[in-house]
Amino acid sequence: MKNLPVLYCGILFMLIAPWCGLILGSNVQLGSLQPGAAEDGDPVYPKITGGLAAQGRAVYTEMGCVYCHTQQPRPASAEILQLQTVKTNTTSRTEMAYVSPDIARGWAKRGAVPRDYIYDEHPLLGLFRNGPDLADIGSNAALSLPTSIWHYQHLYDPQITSKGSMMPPFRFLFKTQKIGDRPSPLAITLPDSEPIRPAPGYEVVPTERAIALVAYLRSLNQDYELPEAKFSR
Amino acid sequence: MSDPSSSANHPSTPQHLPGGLAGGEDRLGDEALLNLHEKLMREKEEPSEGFSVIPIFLIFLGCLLTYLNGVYLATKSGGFHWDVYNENWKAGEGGAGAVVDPMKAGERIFLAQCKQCHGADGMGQPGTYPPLAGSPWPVGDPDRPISLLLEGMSGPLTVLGQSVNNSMPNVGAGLKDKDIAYVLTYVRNSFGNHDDPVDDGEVSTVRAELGSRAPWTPAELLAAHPLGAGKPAAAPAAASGTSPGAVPAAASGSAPAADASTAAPASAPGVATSGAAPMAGTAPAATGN
Amino acid sequence: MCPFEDLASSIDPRTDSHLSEQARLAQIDTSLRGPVFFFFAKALGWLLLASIFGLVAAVKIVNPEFLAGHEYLTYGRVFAAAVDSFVYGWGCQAAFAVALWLMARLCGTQVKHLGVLYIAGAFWNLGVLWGVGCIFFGGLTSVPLLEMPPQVAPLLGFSYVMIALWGLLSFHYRQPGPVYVSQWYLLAALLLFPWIGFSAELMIFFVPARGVVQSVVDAWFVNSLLWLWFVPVALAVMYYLLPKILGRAIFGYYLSVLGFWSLVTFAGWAGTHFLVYGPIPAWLQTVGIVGNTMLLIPAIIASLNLHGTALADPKGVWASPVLRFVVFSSVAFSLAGLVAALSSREFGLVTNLTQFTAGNGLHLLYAVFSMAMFGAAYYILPRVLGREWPSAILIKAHFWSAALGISVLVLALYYFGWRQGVEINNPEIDFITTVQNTDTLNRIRVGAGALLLVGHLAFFVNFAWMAAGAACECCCACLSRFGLLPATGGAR
Repeated sequence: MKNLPVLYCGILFMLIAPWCGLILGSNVQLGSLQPGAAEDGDPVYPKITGGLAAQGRAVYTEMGCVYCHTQQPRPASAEILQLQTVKTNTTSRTEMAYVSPDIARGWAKRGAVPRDYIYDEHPLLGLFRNGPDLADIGSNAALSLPTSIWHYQHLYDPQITSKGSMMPPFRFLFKTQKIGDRPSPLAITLPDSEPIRPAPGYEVVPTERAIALVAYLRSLNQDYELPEAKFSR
Repeated sequence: MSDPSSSANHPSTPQHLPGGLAGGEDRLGDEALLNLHEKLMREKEEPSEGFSVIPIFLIFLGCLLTYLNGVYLATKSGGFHWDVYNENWKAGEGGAGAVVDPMKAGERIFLAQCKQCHGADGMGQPGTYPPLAGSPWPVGDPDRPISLLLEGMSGPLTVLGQSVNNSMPNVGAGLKDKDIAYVLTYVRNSFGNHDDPVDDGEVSTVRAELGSRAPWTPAELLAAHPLGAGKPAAAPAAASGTSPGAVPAAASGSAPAADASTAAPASAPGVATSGAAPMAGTAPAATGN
Repeated sequence: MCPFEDLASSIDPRTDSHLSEQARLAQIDTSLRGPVFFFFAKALGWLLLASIFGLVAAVKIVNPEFLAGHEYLTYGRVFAAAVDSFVYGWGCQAAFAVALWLMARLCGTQVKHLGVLYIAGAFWNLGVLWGVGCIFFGGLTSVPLLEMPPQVAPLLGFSYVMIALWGLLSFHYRQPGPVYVSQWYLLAALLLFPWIGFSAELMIFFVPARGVVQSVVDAWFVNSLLWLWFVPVALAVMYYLLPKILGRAIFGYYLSVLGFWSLVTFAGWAGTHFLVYGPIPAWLQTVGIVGNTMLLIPAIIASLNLHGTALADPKGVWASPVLRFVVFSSVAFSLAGLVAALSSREFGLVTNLTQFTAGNGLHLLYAVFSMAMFGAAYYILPRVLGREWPSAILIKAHFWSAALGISVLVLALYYFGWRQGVEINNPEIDFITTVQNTDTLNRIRVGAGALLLVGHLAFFVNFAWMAAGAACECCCACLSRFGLLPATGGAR
């Protein structure tokens, strides 16, 4: 082949071009995003995850939760025309309607945008949805009881809270200890139907890592608006 | 590293290997492979009949793909802005994309703030919380519901034949002007109601005039903004008709209410200006704001 | 004599031009015997490990309580270990072996100073071993295809540079004459891989970019790894083995230039199609879709070239076990181009974040790349070791289990992944129901994983048997040279 310099230059160019366009381009546009306020005078978001929640993020990362859970709710523009049941006061009927799935499922009030992830060490966007999207799980009232009991039960044995789930149990994040003078305030209650339970006289207590992980999960919150991301109805 | 003696006897040359288990005999040596294909490349430089350097369909496909993708790239890239996430964004819209629909925004606020008491269908709870559906309170003079939201209300009232005696917190104090405007627009156009939308300019005017005061009683509020009255006519004659001369009468008219009497003198200037406020364009001139 | 001249002549890989072609080829094969054998051996070991990890992960999905007591065997870690063992342990090392041999063959050069390659290979394996070990014991980074901790990267980078340098030196000192399309593909792959690896490691770990820029870099890295490293090596193998074994020229060879350039041009842009409707600006998503769709062009050209050649002599293809693998791989590549061409926002809305993506990854990594590597291994190893494969049945078993296993697996992942996407997009279907509806897929995954493991075991046994025979022969030759054994006619 005569044109070897062309070959080398061509390969080099085809390497540089997408790198400049995609990587450099996105870094220029998104690489120095600062937190923002939806309107003047509103609080500025996102907030930095610190303390226990930051330690929890490390646990989330090393357990590989991203292979089943995503943290990227899709926006309102991700609409699908499909048959939906529309309920009014007295009746319900099915009709074709545009639905934005992640928002309709209650996984988020709006799609995620780059500014939501500026404080993440590595954005844990996730690859597959074997489990629900977690980006806004912290604002889910049903899961946010002060004792976080839902989260602890879910980690100890996912079948307690989500029967039929394929999530593995994270029992190794808990320890079974003998009940002392009085039960530990951290001890988790297990329903009577739960087959894997400690022996009588023993209680199940979350370790530091479980507490941190749950703190992280409860910190996952996209329940705020940004100038470029307003809540969908 | 290579041992000449072993390479000469090396059985790895094609002819020495039986077929099948060694991947088959090579029918083409490496040099022959290279030379053959080089010839093929060179041969193609001479055109002949019926010969096309690149198959026609491939050219067609390539052009079609390039064209379609080019159009897609040009139209669905949101102007290559960093803050456009909707591929259907049109130039001229805000970076956030969609223009806010007051009804949708209002509904969201209603569901968050008002639904707990007044119900998602605006029917309230008989005896406890008054209904909004068909109620004359949110419609008509917008200053009435604005003032109500900003300061709250406490006391007995009757709406659509239902009597309630309850307190409504001043939910508007924590809401922005435009949010109050959205939610009132929503309420005024839902549950069977139909009336003009509320502007956030009106809300900020009312807010500035009222300042902070004790919650209204129903009688006070009705005195300031009677039911059934639409927006007062925006005529200067009408403005003078409701000049400060008329207002003290209204203020004294509400005096019998015990809590209103203490509030009235302080609020008289406020009442005066708010009474004149509905004459939007003329108000500043009339009351010398 | 000037030391530089000494160095130059000592690394000069040109074969002696006075020998006949056969002898020269023999020289090349002999010179590469050690590195190619060791790279394949290590790659095969990692392939077995990856198959086992993958099978364990698949079983854990069907039965979450399987091996659930231990932290280091939790699903996320096992899955990540399976992926990285497969990609870096098997995939990259098979690619090294094939690239080195093919480049040397096509350039007519032999490889000298093999010590460097042995060291590089050892370091590569050390790096992958360390990385995968870290994954199990808490060092998982949760960045797709970069799950190994970043400390491993310099080690892998150093090994790679040594290996690639030898490939590039081969090309530099090639015999005067024509350059074949396989050499372009190998050149592109060898030059592109360090760039994408270095960029990704730098911008994600060492000088981390802010927020989703890391995700964009990672998406670009994953796509480039698949389409600009693994696919070119596979194509190089296909373009070489088909004409060589069938004795015919590539059909429409003049198109291969276009195929090469279109692949290298568009594949780099296609990465962000993984993030359609994700937290990135609309233009990045559009660019990814456009790049991905345009990949239909190189796929069609390669299909024309390769299928045209194979269809001219189907009996020849069927008779050769090597070509069965190669043609399977080329058909899979055509289909991969079709799947890439379907890319659009509507398509992404259904298929992203479902098992469809997993199917697409396996399609490229296994059905296209690994099958081509199997074919190449069955071709190269006898020539390099100077022995035949001991068992035809094991080759057949390998082909059929691999072909059936991966076809069923990829098609199931596509179909059930699509269904999963449709169900997740319908808010009226409970999420837990969508999970339970993947039950069939999960069971298929276990079955297919077991079938693939069987195939790999067949390959491994055949390989070990052949290697043992070659080692025996080597030992006998050595011993007889030292007079410890009576000289025989050479065991065959």
